[in-house]
Amino acid sequence: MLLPAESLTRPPRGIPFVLAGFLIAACSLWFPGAGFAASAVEGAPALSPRNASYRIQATLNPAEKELLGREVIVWRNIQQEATGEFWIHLYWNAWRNNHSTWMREDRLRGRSDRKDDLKPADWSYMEVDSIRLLTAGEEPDQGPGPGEELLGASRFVSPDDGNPEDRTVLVVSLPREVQPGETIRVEITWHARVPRTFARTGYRGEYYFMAQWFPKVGVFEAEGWNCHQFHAATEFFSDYGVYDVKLTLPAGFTVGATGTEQGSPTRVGEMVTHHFRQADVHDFAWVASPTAQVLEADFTSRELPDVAMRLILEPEHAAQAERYFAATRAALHFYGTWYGPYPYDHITIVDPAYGSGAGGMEYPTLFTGGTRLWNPVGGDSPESVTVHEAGHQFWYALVGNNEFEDAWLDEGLNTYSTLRTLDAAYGDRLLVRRYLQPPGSGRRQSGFFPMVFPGVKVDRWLDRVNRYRRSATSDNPSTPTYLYHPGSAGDITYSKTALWLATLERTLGWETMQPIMATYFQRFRFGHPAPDDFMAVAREVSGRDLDWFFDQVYRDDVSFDYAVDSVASFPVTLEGYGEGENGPVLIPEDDAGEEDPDDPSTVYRTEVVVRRLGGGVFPVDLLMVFEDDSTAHDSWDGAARWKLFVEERPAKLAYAVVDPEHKLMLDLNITNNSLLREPSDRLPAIKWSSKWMIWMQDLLWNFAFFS
Amino acid sequence: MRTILDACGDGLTTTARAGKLMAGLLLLNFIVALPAAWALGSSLHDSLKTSRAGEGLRQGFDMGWYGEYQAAATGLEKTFRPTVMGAGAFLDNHEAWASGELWRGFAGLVAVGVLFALTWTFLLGGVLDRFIHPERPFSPARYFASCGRYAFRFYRLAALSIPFYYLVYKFFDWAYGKVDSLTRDVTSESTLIIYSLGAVALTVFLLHLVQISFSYAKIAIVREERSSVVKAAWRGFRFVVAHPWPVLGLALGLGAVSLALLGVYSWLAPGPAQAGWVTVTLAFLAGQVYLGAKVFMKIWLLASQLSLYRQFTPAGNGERLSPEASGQEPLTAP
Ligand SMILES: [Zn+2]
Repeated sequence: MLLPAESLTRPPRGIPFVLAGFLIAACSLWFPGAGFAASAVEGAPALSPRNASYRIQATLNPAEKELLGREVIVWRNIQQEATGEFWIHLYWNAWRNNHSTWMREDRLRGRSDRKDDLKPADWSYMEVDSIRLLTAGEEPDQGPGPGEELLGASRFVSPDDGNPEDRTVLVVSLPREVQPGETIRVEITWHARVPRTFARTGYRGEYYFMAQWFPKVGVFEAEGWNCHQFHAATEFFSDYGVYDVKLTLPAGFTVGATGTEQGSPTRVGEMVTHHFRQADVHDFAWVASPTAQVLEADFTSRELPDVAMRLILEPEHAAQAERYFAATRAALHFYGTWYGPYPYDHITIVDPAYGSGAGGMEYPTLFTGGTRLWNPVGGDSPESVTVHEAGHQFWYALVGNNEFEDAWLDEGLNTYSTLRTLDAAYGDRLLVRRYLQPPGSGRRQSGFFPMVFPGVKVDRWLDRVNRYRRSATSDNPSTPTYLYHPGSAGDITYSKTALWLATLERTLGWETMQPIMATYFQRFRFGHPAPDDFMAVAREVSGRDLDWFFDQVYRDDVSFDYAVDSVASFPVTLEGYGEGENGPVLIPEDDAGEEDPDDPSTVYRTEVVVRRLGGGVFPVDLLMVFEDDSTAHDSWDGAARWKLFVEERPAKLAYAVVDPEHKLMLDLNITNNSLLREPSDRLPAIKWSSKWMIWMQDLLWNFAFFS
Repeated sequence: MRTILDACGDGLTTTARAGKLMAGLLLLNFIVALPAAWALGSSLHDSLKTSRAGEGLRQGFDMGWYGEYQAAATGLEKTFRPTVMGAGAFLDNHEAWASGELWRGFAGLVAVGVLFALTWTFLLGGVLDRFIHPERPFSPARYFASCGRYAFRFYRLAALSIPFYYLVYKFFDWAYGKVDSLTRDVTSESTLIIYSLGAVALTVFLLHLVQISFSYAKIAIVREERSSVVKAAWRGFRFVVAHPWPVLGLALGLGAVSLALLGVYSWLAPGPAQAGWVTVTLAFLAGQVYLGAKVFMKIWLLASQLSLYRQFTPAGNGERLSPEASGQEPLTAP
């Protein structure tokens, strides 16, 4: 529902909109009391350092696509060093114009067609109107007070690429240094234009998904401020705190947000204010939909704490509500069992509106799924995205690594966990082809009408190998993620990491892998671990030196490919000269003997050559299967470029397989892992080419239509 | 309604008698597709013959192998995908045909497709001549002679139709773009589907309108021995405009039968699990039977169109008819 424009207070000429907006907000919406960070969750023990807390009041004006905001950031210096600066992300400036770093990188990842779709009204901005360092005891609702105005002492910086036109990082010089352990309160007022969705943020029609929507403080580390520009291929990094947020918007929207709603919404005239609060999180997102309905369900388990699930669902997906709940339950159950319990008692699932671009994204205690009008069961949609984003509550929301620099720590661990969960909860994934692509720039969406091919199973892990293969050597994973090539960053961050984790699991066994993951999770919950932390835990828990492995999969970009290069079986008979009493004796040709397949005493020598075609080294097993169904197992450290395996027994080899248990999930070519001694018949090829031929014959008739 | 049913009945009788023609067409189609299928089969065999992956494809499909195969695929190999099986083959092609993607596919296949279309154009003159004069004794020499007699006119007609088809595809691109901008703020997929299907339906309608007009133009050329293809095309178009309901009704009626056939095939079409020569052959034959049914529908439509044309264009209306075509002689001479 859209509110007529005139019913929302518009500023008279000459008075900034931001001030006028606050005239309506000030009387009832700012909340009393200071020191809220400590009192926000009275009685509940702090789970996190809570050193970056926010009290925000924001008003959305849908008619103008404008957002007015005022926030107080309560920030505590938890480092041993003092700082005289305060770094702030202004994410929405990424879409201020086409010169921003985000837009440059977006072009690099092949989205140069976006400009065809962009209209002038789609751009956004985030303008800071005031930054004040509040003095002790100062109430922020008193209007401009004695706090020092610091806007003049601020400047835009571009620490990552020096782009002078990027305005996503603002550095404020403080009048004095903040000492270790000291807390400051910074009040920021801003106004922003809501983007038409970029990066899962913004509006489509009257549907709003609001993420990265407020000025957000960077992370002050021992080395200084960690506050990156907004990049196209990476996400975010923030400290934990308490978020206390009041959102005012016209009546008629269903609103969902991080945390839980505090009491009923209050209505003043046509405007409604929703109050949300959440402690021990590092971000806050919200959604406003004029059409959505709210459904509720529970996650209950004997071993894990109960969680209330709230689904904000678009009506055309009503039939899929239970699938969203079931997938969320699967994530809470398996991640909770494997790694550790989800600590909040609620979770909000957002089913994004069609075309809103908000699907498949994680925020603390809230995530977006994403489905289509028709989605057949068995095709992993919406299950895959739901498990993945719900899983991010563990890898991202709870273990809060730096997503700008080490995105693999959350995305990779989460992709690995997602695939395990889907395998455990849903079994086989079936091939689905969707017909009739929707219109739109680049036709990126898959078709409207799905068809399942029930006989074709899609191995979720091999599907990842297919994605990893195309970018296998494009970047060294230990490069900071924001420096990956934007076009291939995802393949490495998600797929390669998931595959090497699976390789590690198959090498160490789940009984070792699970404690590694659980230890890492529990040790770094509400913290900011770095890659070395994960690797140290892996070493510690497994009790094994795994550097040889991490050096290859993380600190190098080598690819892996082992292949059986040749196989041969022949009777063990001597030809040429034998040893006689008086020296060499030529063995008569007749005695060399023809091989007699019926003679059980014929012994065959089998020679198998395995090659290492890739740069990566990994210990592999070799399985030889003989024509009498007997088998031989061998192993190899995989270090040399090739190795000969020899076996003598009264049967010829049928085939040999290197890495028969497929432990090395990073192997880029599985087809060459096995070699038959005798080529197989043509049936498989003829079967599939005959199916293709029917397609081709029909294609010809389609051309004949025009004659 | 009566007119349409009569035309359908006539057309069915004519088609049913054209068994040899049908067999010839299916054989031609088969022969043109065979070398490409053979080439693809060899490529698949090379990839599979010494690997255990072949076992996966024997029992069903192996998406892991497929990813590797596609990573190294070129040309024809790139068109191979598991979704070509069963009804997927036909849906694939219908989608490509309606959106114009058909013409943007692998150039080698497009070239073969165009050659096939040109061959079919050549054969069409003989088909129509045969349908118009069933009383004449059939001989291959006579058949090909009549093919030759109309071929050049038919090719000129085809050249004349190109800009019309081009415009229809341009219309589709424009209409789909329009749908995109009109639904820019729409947040319901069902709404978008309705708009998109509207654009597709219009495109499909226009494609058929052009095709049907030119089909009647060919009928006019053969029946009336017209030498000017421009006039014939105009005649075909005027015929469609003058008798919109019978023309449309006929096309829709037979179109509905075709869709029903596709439905039946989708339901019955074998999946990927044939592991022996017998089952593989049976699955292939099932596809051939469906292809045969599609070709039957195509010929049935053509024969019915001819019948319809004759119903509305009897002798003595000022049209110059070929000597044998005077009066409403029965289509099926004894
Ligand atoms: Zn993710």
